[in-house]
Amino acid sequence: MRYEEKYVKKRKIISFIALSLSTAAAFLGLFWLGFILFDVLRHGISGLSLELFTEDPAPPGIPGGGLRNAFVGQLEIVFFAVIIGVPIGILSGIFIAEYARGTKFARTVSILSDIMVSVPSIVVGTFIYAILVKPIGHINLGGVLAVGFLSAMLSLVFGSILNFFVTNILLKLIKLSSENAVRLLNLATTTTTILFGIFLFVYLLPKLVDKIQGFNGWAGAAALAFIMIPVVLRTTEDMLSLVPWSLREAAFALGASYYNVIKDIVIRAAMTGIFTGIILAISRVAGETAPLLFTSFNNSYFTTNMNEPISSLTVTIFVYATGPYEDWHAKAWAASFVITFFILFVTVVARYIIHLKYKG
Amino acid sequence: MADKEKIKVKNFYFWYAGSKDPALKNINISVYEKKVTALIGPSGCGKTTLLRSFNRMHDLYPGNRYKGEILLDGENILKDDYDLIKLRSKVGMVFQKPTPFPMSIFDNVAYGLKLRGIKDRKILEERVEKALKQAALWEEVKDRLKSPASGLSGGQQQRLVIARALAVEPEVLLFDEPTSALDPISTSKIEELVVSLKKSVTIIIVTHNMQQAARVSDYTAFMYLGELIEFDKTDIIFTAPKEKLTEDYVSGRFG
Repeated sequence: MRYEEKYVKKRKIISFIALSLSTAAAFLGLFWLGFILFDVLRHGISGLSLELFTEDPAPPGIPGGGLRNAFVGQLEIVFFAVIIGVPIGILSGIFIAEYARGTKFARTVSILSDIMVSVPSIVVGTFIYAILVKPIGHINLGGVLAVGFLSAMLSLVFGSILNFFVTNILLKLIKLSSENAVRLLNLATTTTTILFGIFLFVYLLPKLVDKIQGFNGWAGAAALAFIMIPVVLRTTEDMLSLVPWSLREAAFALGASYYNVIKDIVIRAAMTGIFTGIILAISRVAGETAPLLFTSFNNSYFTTNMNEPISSLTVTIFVYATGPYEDWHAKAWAASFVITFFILFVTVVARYIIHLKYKG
Repeated sequence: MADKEKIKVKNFYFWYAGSKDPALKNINISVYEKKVTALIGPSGCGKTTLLRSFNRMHDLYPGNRYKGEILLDGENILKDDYDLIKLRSKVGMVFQKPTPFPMSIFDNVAYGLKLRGIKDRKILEERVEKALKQAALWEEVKDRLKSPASGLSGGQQQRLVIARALAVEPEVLLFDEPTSALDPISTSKIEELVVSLKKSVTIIIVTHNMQQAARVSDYTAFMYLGELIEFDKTDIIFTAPKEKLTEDYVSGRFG
């Protein structure tokens, strides 16, 4: 009895210490977050004006002007990064968690993604620089790769349709069922597909590859997409894995195909998590500077042309904050304020929408 | 026995992936149309494995193997080219734990119908109402068909899942311990439901609960270590079994 009482007391003390420590740690983290937000707010709000959003920069040293080019450029780069990165991330997450579940390949991709998440973003920047910015000879490796990828995708679609037509319609029409004939037809469609792909590549290459030279917005978007993909992939994979198998079985038992099970049940059940992953990825890349320095670079003029160097908020903050002019510093603060609170706002709104939708 | 055979299992063996010993050995059993057949036996005896063979649920996992025949209306469903989607629309299944889909009550019940290409709102509404009434859930949910199914209680969710399976008008309904996660009141509702459903469908139910088997079923199969020990009318199994093993099990003297 006595021993037990002592034991309970000891447990209570340990519990109290653990509680105090974790509370203190939480407040420490919150304090710095609040401090940063407060500082950005304090310095940034004075630099805010309508001109900041509607005017382009004045020449260096001359006060006035705004950062319209950087706001528009940032939105454009992030928009295209999302367009490229999110579908690839989600689809590969689905592939890893569903179709390739439990295979060695899936585990490898999963581990590689984890490594990719922690690759310093400047390394991603230099990598994209090497393939999409720096020309090799007079052609651009990234351009060649992009055209190659595009041709491969188009010929795959073409090949699937052709194969479907040949094996499902033609075979039934001519009532041919010998295995060798089927094999021959498959060979024929495969060859046609490959030839079609090569033709596309040769046809498209000279038309597209010279469009992009030097620093350009696409490279910036690609760098950000590159950072987003593993984040979205891993969260998608994790969220899909959390959906209980019994739910999938129940859908299969109703006669659903795997595609239907994924589309109607699994994705739906994991929606909140996947969406959070996307928001997380967006807010991560929206604050990235290093990968943009080597890729989209900077532009003091307003442009929406992704084939040219394009201005972004983060690079502008970097340039302005380290620049010599008082006016630049104020603008850098204002830009920091806008980007910080924009990300905060997006995150809060996204979470609120999720909350509303799933509260029931 | 004047009852009509719906499913006939002939010399059926089943192996799980990577296992040399069959999980089911030489099973021969008949399931009669519009009757309730209960599969009983201790844990690991293969009753769930057998149940999941009737809609080929085992095909979801690579490496599982079947041998023998399962005839549904005389057609072998184990044939390689038997269309699984067709099979699963004829043979519905209700699982141990309620599995409501993350959508509204209405969409849950309508899901199987939508999969079959029924888009007409009016037909959907009719069929959903009919299924919910059959599953004795209509009165409780008719005013909140649009709200998420996750808001229902466990027992209601299980009846919703039954309604979802009924909506596609299956010929056979498989129940895998449908009440093991439910309280006694919900359990008795499900049991009443099972008895009332045999007017329209053939039912196979796996249960750990022998009283449940005695209450709801017309036929009972006792399985042990992957083999079918005895199969007969329920009252015979429970009052005058031929096998000693069956007698020991149903009288609780097992082990």
